[in-house]
Amino acid sequence: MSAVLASEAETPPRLLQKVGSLLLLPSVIVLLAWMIIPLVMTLWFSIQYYNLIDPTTTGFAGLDNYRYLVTDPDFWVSLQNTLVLVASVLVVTVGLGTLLAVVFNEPFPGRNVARVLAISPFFVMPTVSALVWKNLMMHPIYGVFGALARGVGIQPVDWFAEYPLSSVIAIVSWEWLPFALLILLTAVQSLDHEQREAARMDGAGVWAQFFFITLPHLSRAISVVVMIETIFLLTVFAEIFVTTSGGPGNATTNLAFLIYARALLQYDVGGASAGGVVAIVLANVVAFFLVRSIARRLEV
Amino acid sequence: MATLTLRDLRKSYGSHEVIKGIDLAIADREFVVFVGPSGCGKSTLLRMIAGLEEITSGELQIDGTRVNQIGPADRGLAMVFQTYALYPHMTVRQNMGFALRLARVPRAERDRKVEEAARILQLEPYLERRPRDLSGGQRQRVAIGRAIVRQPKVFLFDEPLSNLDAALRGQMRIELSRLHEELNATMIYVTHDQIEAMTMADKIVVLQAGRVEQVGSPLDLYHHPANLFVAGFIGSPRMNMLPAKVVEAGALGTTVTLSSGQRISVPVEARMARTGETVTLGIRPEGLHIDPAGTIPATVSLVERLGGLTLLHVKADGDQEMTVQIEGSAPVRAHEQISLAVDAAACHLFDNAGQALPHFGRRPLAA
Amino acid sequence: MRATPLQRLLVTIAGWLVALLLFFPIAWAVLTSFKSERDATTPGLLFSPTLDSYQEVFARADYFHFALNSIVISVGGTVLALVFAIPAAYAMAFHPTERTRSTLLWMLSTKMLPPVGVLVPIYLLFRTAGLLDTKSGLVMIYALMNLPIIVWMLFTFYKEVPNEILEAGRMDGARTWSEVWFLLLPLTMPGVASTGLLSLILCWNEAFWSLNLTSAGAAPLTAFIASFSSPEGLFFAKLSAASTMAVAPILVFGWFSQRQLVQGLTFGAVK
Repeated sequence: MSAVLASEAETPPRLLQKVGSLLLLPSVIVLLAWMIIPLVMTLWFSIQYYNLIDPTTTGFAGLDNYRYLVTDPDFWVSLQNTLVLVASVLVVTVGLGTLLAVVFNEPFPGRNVARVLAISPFFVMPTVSALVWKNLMMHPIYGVFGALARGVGIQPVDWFAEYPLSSVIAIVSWEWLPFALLILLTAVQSLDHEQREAARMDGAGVWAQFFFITLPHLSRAISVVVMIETIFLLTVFAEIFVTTSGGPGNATTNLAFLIYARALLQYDVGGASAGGVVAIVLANVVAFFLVRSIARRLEV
Repeated sequence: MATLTLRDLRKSYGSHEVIKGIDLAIADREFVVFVGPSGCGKSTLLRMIAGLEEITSGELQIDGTRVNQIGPADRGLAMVFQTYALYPHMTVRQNMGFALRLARVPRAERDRKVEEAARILQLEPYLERRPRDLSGGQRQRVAIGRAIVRQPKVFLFDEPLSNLDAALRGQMRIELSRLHEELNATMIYVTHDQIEAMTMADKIVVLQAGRVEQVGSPLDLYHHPANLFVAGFIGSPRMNMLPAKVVEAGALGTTVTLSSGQRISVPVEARMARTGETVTLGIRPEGLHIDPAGTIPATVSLVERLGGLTLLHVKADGDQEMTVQIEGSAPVRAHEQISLAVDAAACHLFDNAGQALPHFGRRPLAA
Repeated sequence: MRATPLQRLLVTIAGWLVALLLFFPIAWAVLTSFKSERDATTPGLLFSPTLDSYQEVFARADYFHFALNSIVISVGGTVLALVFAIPAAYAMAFHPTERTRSTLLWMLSTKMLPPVGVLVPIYLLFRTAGLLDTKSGLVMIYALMNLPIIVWMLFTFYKEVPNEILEAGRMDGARTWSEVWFLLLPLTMPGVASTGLLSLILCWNEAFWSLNLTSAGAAPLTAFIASFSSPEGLFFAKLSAASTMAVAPILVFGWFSQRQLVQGLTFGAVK
């Protein structure tokens, strides 16, 4: 290499990459700690006997906590409730969301205002949603549903007493439908409208267009919505906490609430941690597929 | 003074070499055009000169000083980007004055220089506008203005006209040539359009696959292409290429036969070409004429009337397709049978390696 | 227009019906907030509007205490996350390495960790560190929870800055600092602002850690509203008033951040 002149040399790309890594480091360290430390602790606690108010419960438990969990009928009920909740909300939000996305893709008078109204539920905090639905809407005496029922002469239903899980599902669906709608609407709008016009020229009616053009185009967005909603829905908590506290009995106890109850109501840290591990494993299964889906689209 | 010297300049991405050893000398105040097909490396070469791409090996000198390690801001160059790359959040005045502001030039002098450049480019009414409020042509002038203000040693243009519509392009070609005269600066211009190259350049550098194919003035390249690639690339419509066989090579020229059997004596040195060898005969469309006494019979497949001239696409015997350029008012019709005559002095011969056999005499304008 | 008038009518009806039905509970709550408590118990549309409920909620000094908590925690969590995220996203967008891609994906995956899975250790750690019922504790958790999304969104905004503009800046003489100050910052400011907005919304509405890690001292509005869940009777108007005030600003923010929502929460998997 010949001699370099006295003029200022440009920063070589390798140095810039090192600076870049340095800027990245704090975030990586912090997230790493956030991931590893609590995870390891949960795992550790799950194999310990540990009760917050009973100092006599100590010692290595091996897989006992897991055994208690698996033999506890409440656990299986909670798992079932979780799956029923997630599946039902998915069906409602994705099914309705797809149809609504198609509707909102068409121009109609006042569409922008209607859209703003339709997506509002997502921005309401979960505790408000739950209480408004429980007290102002579904309450048999004071609620709107009750008044409507009385208006047509039928006995109002006490939703939270007779159909507690369905009531929770209704609330959560209301909260998440706008999310599905927004995402699917974005995806529908990306469909090249010339494709649809070509289909029309080929003789496709409205339904044929929907099934052969729109739906396949949406399949990717639908799978993304399903995966993301699943991850968040697995740990629905506030709505249950505020309306039913898991009851009546364990009718609305999902896995998240079960863990909470074990940890902060019964102070059984070991048992709650075992439940936590189950929740993490479940979420990881879905997360694996979601990350793969994102990775395919990611350009760095 | 602004001269550039490129000595065995190379660039590789990993193990893939894209610029394969370029030697070039650019004189002060020259308008040099880098031209070639997509992917030939002309933009990469320009960016290496600008300092936006690293030079893997070789030497780049500006005014005799080696600049390989010097950053783009310190080389004394200014670049006009293909997409103009104007700063969207700044006004035209701020865009043009940005470099001066970074160099801490006092406000008054900065304004003076910006207004002078705006005057040259007729941008005065737009000084307070943002780029999004300007048309494509105006944006391009702002990009040029940004370069002028810096009074660089060399102007670099990266396909500046390719985003403009055809009419505007023609106009801007003229303006850029005028600008070159007025500013009297060295300019390096990259384009894939050989018409831009021919009309604007003092010197054209034809590039292909990272190598220089030929360097010369426009007419030099037109009348004395060094190889098949340059011959086919320069000149529109494309030169006709006919396979031929050498029958005689002598002091007066090289005689070849075409597949039709016709003999043509071309005034070129035979060099390495031997009797019986296959060569390529090149003749531009204007070198063919319709002549009832002509020796090449052909059928007209398509007539393209441009008004001032007419292009005939013909098929000579043996399915040899050729393009002939004739007078605009000639009454030729499709499917007609015609006879063509060849202007032997305007022919080119290329050996089987694609290299041109040199003409005995050079055309006057192409000296 | 391609649709028949009948189809257009159906679409208009369907769209508006859904919009009104979805918005109804919110509208009803706002309506109820203007009723007296007596009127609130009967779900009717005719009533004499009053601001009594709002006054009573205001009179409870602790409403402002909780509202302030929400503000401090949301803003704090957002600012803290931005402090970490801005340089990180800058590094990944402009000085990528071979590891950048997997780092980004890994960061996104940390967002998929279910909070309830680590409820126990976090609770215990906070207890030991004296962070239970503190605003700073929540600020840290929220910053960590939202960091992946914020980094991701800033990354996409940074990538949208055309590289040629930065190159033009370099040709004009901008060194790294000038490049950041004169070009990057102004060009990405809208992106940073909308990312911050989304983070504010997510922090404000977060209802897991806020319910479990706080009590009277640092509880934000989510927890405060949750305290209305114990049946006290004759409080619907106050509940509605408190809810309306807690929700209204976020609703407005949300209407402005639809695009960021899609980008941020789907991690770009849907364009």
